[in-house]
Amino acid sequence: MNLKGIVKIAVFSVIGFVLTMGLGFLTGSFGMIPSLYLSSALPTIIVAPIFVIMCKQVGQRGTAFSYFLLLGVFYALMGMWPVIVVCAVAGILAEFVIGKKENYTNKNMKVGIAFGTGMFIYSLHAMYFAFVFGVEGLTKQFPKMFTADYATFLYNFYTPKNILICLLIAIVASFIGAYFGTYIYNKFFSDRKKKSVL
Amino acid sequence: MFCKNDKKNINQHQLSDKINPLTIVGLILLFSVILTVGEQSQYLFSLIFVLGLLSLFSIKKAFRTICSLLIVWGLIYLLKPHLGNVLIGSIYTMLLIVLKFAPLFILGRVLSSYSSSHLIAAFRKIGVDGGIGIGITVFFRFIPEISIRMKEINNGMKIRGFKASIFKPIRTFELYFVPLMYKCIDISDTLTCSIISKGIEYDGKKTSFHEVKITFIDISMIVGGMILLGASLWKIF
Amino acid sequence: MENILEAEIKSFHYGEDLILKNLKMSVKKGEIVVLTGLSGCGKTTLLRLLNGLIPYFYDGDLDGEIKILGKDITAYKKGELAKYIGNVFQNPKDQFFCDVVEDEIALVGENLGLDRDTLKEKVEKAMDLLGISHISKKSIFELSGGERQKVAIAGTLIYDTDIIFFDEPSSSLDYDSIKHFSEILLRLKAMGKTIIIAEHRLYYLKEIFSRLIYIKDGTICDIFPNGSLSNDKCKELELRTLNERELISEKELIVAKSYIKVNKACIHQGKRTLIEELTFELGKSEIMGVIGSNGIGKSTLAKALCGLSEKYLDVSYGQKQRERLKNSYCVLQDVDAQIFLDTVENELIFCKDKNSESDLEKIREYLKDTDLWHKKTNHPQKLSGGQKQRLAIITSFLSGRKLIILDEPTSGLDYKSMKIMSDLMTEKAKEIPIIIITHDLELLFKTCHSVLMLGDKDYKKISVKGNEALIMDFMDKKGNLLKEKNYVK
Repeated sequence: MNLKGIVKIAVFSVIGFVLTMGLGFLTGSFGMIPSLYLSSALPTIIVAPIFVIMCKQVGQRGTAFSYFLLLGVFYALMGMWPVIVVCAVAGILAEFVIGKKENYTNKNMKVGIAFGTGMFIYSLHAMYFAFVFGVEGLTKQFPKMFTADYATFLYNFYTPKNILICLLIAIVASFIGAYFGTYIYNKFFSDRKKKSVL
Repeated sequence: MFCKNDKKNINQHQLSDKINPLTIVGLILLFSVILTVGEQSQYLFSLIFVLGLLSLFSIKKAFRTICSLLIVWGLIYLLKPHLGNVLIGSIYTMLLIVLKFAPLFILGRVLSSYSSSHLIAAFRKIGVDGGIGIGITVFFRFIPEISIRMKEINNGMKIRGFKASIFKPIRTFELYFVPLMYKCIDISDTLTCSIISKGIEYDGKKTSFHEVKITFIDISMIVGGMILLGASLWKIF
Repeated sequence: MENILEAEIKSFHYGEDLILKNLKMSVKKGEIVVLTGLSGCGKTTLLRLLNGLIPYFYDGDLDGEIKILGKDITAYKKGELAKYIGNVFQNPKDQFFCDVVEDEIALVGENLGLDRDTLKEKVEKAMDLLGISHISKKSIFELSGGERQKVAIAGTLIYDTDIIFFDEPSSSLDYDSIKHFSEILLRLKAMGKTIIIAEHRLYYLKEIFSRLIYIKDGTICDIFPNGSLSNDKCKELELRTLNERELISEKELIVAKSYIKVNKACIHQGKRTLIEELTFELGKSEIMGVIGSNGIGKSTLAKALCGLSEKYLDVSYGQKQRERLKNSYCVLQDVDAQIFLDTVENELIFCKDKNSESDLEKIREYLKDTDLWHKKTNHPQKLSGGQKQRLAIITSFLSGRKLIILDEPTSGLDYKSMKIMSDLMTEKAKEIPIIIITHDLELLFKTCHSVLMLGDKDYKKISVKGNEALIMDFMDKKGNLLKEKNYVK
């Protein structure tokens, strides 16, 4: 990975971070349940073009991993350090999905799907909060404010059925994101010859 | 530590210079455990502590944070009687999580008050360098840049007569993000040329303009954090 | 005296294209060398070969040799060149890595392992020399163009680098800052620095350069020692003027019926009032220039007139913001933020909701006149800077609005491109008035009928023809000219 690549990945990951966090808050503002189902569907679709264009521009092995790792580092700077671990795993998996070095420049759809995979793994950090802290942590912190009933409801949210729904939504979002990323790249960034209307 | 009004700015600067960024990182790690397993008293103590720390860096930021926290707390109080409704219940839980981890977010804000060069110098001391160092610097360099560019693109759209619309999401994305991405590609190229010509690839020991050392203040903060951690863990066992 | 820099380039290819050929040059220590030529002549490529960015960053195949301080440039270790060469790029803001001024200046010292005490001393010394000690802790986003330039130069003084390269340094500066910059160059020259500048604007370098190298079609056409280059020769080579004072207006003042009226407009920036009670009129075919010093409010005025700011303004084409936005078009300084579509032709086609056959014919004509016809299906964002500026201007012409405002349309353009722009504006002005905010005096005298001079809370509108000396004195800040009675109306 040369310096040119690192700086480019850093720049794109900052935009990706701002969008991911912003859209995450937007989804979250509708409440816990929608954000649990949708997890990171919206960021997956909207940030996909940025990821696809970055991969085409850099075209080196390690791009996807560096992107997700930097995402984690930025979250850590904001105080959420456990996300680095989740993001590192997401990055490794995304690299795995992309596969060969040539796919970075040749296969946009594969790059888009890799991004969706990474984003789904990343979205598990929301599950982590709900799952681990759902009952014990929150009831402990605010015994007067938080009812045990509601905490239990949250804890029981993660049935196999619900997890499957989350996964399905993530897969659909992944495909939409890949198509969207490819569309934007082909329309605005590729060197393909276009037909003139004049 | 306590200063008069006129000398406030200078003293704040000197004090924040004295605190090592790595101490803040250490506090983030300690507090993330404390907030998970600790009780209400530890939570309140850590919240007051980080708010005090933030006010040493910037009174304005601390004031804004306190206002936001009060708003969140107020919303939680208002929503509590309506917990029966599922949507309200889930918003309530979301706000609760925000409040619970507020000290961590505030520490993150404190960390971002340091200049990027100071942070790199601190991370370099613990061996975090290279790509991550560049990533962190680019992060601080680019966050203001993105907002400036979006404003310019917005102006450009107004002049052209193009309108953003939630009913035309693809078009809106194209209008805002394509010029932004091209601008970022341009800037990243110029930036890379600039740092190459400033010898960033030089294979030698790198020094730092900012002094990064551990002082009594840092040690006392970390020790304080560990005591708090001990107190919260002791309650479990 | 030994040569500090030597270049012998048999050929340089980028892909299939031959960019440079049979180029031989050498620079002695303490010389100030200017590289000039039309856009696309190869001077930027030459600069990149000399400062080592090719091959470290840019690709290309070089058949030749470049020597810095007697040693082949490829023999230097990675990053080592930073000890001997300093670079100031075209847009200083984009080249800043850190977010605080003193950190940015210290960066090169940190990378090369200078110890902290020496580094602190050098940073202070550099800031002192350039007069920027008072902004040492400021964020780079709060600096003016001139201050950014000074910060970039300060960064090159940390390691006492002998050679400093400047790539079109005046393109991001206004008139006052260019004057300060030429003073800094003289100071650097006195320190014994060797300076190589790739530049279009020549007037501010007239007393400074040792040699001027004219490059055409990838090779050195001519070398002019200082004093041997005349203004007539500059005209012949299609270069920018060497002597601004010799410029005369090429336009007659037209007395036309008032088409646009501005009545007692107050322009604000935040809580500050920049311009008070501005009143002027424009004729239908009038091109009016707007000049004034840095920070006086020219760009703010442009934004107010086109409807981006000021909720209410007493102007004839729209008092409310929305009306002003609909009836006027402003091409802002950074044209990148006004380019939105996927091809050059679409950028023009979508100026109007529906295009008739004559509209399409007009688009074809504009593309051919601006030498963009062969790029019509390319992405507009991939065009060169000058091409984008031409595209932005013809977009404004096709918008069908009542008034066009252009904010610094020719910054960084060579003479030929500036002339194309000037001809386009003259042609379009037959239909609607145009306001041009500029500090490019060549454009002003070539294109504008009248000029609005903005002073501190004062202003005056006069014709350009006959008042050339007055206008230049105003730009040079000589005396309180706005009160002058003896000017040609």
